[in-house]
Amino acid sequence: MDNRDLELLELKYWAGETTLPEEEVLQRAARAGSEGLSADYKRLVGLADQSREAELDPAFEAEFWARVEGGKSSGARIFTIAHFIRYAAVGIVLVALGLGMWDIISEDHLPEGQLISAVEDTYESPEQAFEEAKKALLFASQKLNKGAAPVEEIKRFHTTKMSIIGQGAENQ
Amino acid sequence: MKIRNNISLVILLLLAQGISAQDAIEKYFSAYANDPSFTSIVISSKMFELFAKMDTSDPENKKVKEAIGGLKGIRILSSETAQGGAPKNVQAAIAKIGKEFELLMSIDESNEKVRFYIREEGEKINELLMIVSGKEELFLMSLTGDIDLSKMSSLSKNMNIGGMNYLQNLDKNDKTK
Repeated sequence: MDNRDLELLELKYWAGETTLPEEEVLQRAARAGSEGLSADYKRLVGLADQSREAELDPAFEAEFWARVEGGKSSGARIFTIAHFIRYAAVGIVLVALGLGMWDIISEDHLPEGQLISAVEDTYESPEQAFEEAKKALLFASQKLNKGAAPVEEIKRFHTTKMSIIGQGAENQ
Repeated sequence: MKIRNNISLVILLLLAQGISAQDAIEKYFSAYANDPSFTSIVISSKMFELFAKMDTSDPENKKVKEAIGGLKGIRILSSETAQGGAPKNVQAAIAKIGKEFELLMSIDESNEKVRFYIREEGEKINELLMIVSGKEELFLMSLTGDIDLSKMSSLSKNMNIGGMNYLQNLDKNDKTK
């Protein structure tokens, strides 16, 4: 095949109309360095041959899988604020429950009578208890009145003063 | 899912707080009720229910019944000789009560200091704590329930019973359990 035929065949190739046997003819001519073919086509054939021959380094696969496995085994996890809040809340709940339980347990271990006396009545008879409640209330009542007395005195003084001022104003 | 988890956590937190929170006065009384230097008196809500059923023709007792109508309990601690870990003055006693108590009244005299504290919920007084401290003695009384101060105050105005000598008349043998 002369150079003119190769040129025409290349044009047919770029137009996408060549058959496989024709493309093999073109490729052979390109590899032979035929002058009838363009530099672009020759470069294309050269690159295609090069990519066909290219192979991965035998160590690549082993290295790749080693890295994948290494990433898995490290077990690194991202610790976000949401994680922190969740763990902190659980911690607070556990501490509060612990304190509550401690209170209950420590009360259970109080000396005999100490806790009971805070719950059980001192008197078995309602009449006795009533008399005691009456005396205690009277005591509190008298103290309350004692504290309130100076305030009542000031109120009375103020009321009297205002009534005297009012009467004076009326007389004038 | 996240919202549900968060709500569950909040509920758990509230429950935990409820368990750990304790009535400050309850703790106070528990701490000293078995102290030999203290006289302890407890009148429970059950006893107050019995008071309501008691028949009385005495007009004074009728007034007392009326005044204690809303009460649910009385606890008294009294010590004539403060010893050991017991508070030795009114300041030490006050330091032990919770912040929920508010000072209602204070009376300072040469031989005696009196403090009234109240714990309120809304408009109602739920607890009245009275602390009386003298040179040697310390007296604490906690009244719980629906407390009407005006009714309490009117009690001693209408009666002539020796309430002022109450502290001197506390009989340890009868009242300590």
